[in-house]
Amino acid sequence: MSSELDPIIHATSRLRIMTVLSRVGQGEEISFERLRQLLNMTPGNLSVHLSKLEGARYLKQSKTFEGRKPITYITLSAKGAAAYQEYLEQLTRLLSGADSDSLRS
Amino acid sequence: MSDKTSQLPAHRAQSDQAEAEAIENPAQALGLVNEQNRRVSSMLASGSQRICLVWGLVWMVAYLTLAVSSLLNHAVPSLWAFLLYGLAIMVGVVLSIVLGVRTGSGFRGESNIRGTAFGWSWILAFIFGMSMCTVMVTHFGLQDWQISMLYNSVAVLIVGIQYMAGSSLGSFDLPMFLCVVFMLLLCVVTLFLAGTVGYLVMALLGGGCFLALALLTYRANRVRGVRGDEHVV
Repeated sequence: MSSELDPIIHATSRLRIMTVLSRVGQGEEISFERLRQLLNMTPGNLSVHLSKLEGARYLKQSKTFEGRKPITYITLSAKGAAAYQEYLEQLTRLLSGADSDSLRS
Repeated sequence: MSDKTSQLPAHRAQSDQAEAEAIENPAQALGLVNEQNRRVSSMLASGSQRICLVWGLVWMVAYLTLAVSSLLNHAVPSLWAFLLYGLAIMVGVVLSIVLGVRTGSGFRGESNIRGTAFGWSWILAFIFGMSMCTVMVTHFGLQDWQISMLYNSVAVLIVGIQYMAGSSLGSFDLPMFLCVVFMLLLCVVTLFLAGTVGYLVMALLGGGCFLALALLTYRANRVRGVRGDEHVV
């Protein structure tokens, strides 16, 4: 049943990352540190999962400076937004199917 | 977890991490989405909730000061009361700016620009609104009891119109819309309330409206889940 779900998104940390980025909105950017605080993850752990999502082209990372301080901003890509939306729809379908099965049995 | 896994063989550490990342079933996935949406909603709303809380308390303190002073001073607040009122308003402005900047910190994009513009619109609306009142007072030679009604009514009107603008920045916000309606009604009511009564109404109903909005927004965001129909403002 769960094998239908996008394996890139279907992992605890990456699902949470995609949820936050979707709420922030496509075209809007959130800093690495702000994202880390929202997710309560360690920097290393977050980096690993962001890299995986960026590898799938679900998000983009851009590095810049604010004053002398390096900052990384993350934004959801169009592909990522579509993939997340599809993931939620599949999730809803699976849960509706599961409810129907339990009623029949 | 990362400290313990670093002491394990690499394949064992990877296996443990994969296990921790695994989602067992769709219901668990939905639970994660809902919980994360709630956290984001709470974070996004916390800034405006705190600003409403600040202004609720500022209005209560500021207008109660004028009310008490006018009660003791033949229906006209004394100079010290107006100075305290001005100080309370300045404290509110400074705290609002600080809270607004902190809320928008770490975000970049059109929403940040909208938020900054909205913040400035409050400041400019009050500067020009209160200046307009001052000109009217001078031009028409208004009496003390008329002056308080004019300033109170225009202040409440500005708040109502600003909240009306704010409610259109994102998805429909019922608590904010109710606040708009209440403030616009209060704007008319204050035109009939002079002196101490007018100041008391501003303190308790005007300030109370801000506090109620902070509470309603807090409660609304506690239940927001998969719908997640609010974006960064």
